[in-house]
Amino acid sequence: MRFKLRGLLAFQSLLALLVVGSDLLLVPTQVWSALARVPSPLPREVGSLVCFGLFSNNSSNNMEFTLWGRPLGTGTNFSEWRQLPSDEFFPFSRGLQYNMMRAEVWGVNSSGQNQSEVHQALGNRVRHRHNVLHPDAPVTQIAYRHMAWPARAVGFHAGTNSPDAVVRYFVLTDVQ
Amino acid sequence: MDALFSSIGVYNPTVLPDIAPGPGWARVLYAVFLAVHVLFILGVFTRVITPLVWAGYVYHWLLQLRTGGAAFDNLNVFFLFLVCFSDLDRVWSITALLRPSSAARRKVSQFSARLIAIHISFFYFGTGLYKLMMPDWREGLVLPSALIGRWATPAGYWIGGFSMPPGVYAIASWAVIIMEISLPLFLWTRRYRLAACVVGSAFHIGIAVTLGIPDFLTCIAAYALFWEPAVLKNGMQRLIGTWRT
Repeated sequence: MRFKLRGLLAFQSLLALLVVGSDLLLVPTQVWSALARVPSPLPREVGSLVCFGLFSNNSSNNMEFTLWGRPLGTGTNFSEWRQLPSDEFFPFSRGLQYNMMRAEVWGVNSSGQNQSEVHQALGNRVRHRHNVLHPDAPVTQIAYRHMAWPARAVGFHAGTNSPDAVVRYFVLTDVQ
Repeated sequence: MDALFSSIGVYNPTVLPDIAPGPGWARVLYAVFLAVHVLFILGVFTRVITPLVWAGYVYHWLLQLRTGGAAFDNLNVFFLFLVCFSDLDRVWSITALLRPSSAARRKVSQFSARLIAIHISFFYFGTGLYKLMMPDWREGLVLPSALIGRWATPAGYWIGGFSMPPGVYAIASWAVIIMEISLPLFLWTRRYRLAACVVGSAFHIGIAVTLGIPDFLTCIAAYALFWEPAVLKNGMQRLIGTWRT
């Protein structure tokens, strides 16, 4: 009984140390980093255990990723590429979908890939999924189109025709 | 399920091996995950079920959901881990109905609950302090752009369309900062606890309605952990009594 109690106390002490200790360490570290305008020395996946301030980056622009597939027999001219429905691959709300497509994986994944390799892996999976679901209209290559435009209060896409809108393409995959 | 957790989906595993199951097995796994969730909510043998809920959540989170880097996912992982060490089914549960406990056994340790409450306190304080450090938050620039940004819902756009003077957003921003920094203090103070719960709930419901982020509603559920058990018990009994009449 005494041994069981001591074991329980030891475990609870360890858990408390882990939780409270990490909170005590992480909050001031993140705040100090924000104040000094330097990246947090902690890996983001650890620092976010306390949850840093969301919406900390302000922008007057709205941004969106869309998926584009290169049909068979077409070249690298994006005007020939076909837009793919993002919801079919990233079924999330608009804000979370953007995060998912930006693929802010913290650190590296299990294969030791860096972020560009993560995008390539995602692009390969988008292509595979599209070709499985739409075998009659396969694509050989996948690209992101990133668009940024001045935000308007009348609606999310209201400013897309603005002359200040910026469009960029990022090819994610090699040709299959 | 297919789109996120199967081999024909778009997934990006972290830590896990780079293999997702076929669509059939992915659906089976997810169905088991949901069934375990139902048992968890009903309070069925939670010493076994809660770790399964945590494991199922972590599996799906590591397989794809973590890719977005959304910090609120960590709260769910963290809370579920801590409640694995709680006897969640001692009272007000199916297990308690099937195996009524003696008065002595109906007392459980508040240890995990206290750890969650402490973490919630640091969470609010940390985010408030972080916002205080951000010039864009101090100047009230973040709220108006968030209400017409990619996270905003139609309700958010409706509010954002009111063309309010910058001073209104500055006041609202400072209200959020002060609220987040001071909320832990009021949650731990009996006299102001109810008001803190109301203000915090309004804040998180507002975020869910205007920015489409319902995930922080977990924090509202966690407010119960700041209250004394006797107060919660009396409150629930009054609520049930009112419902029955």
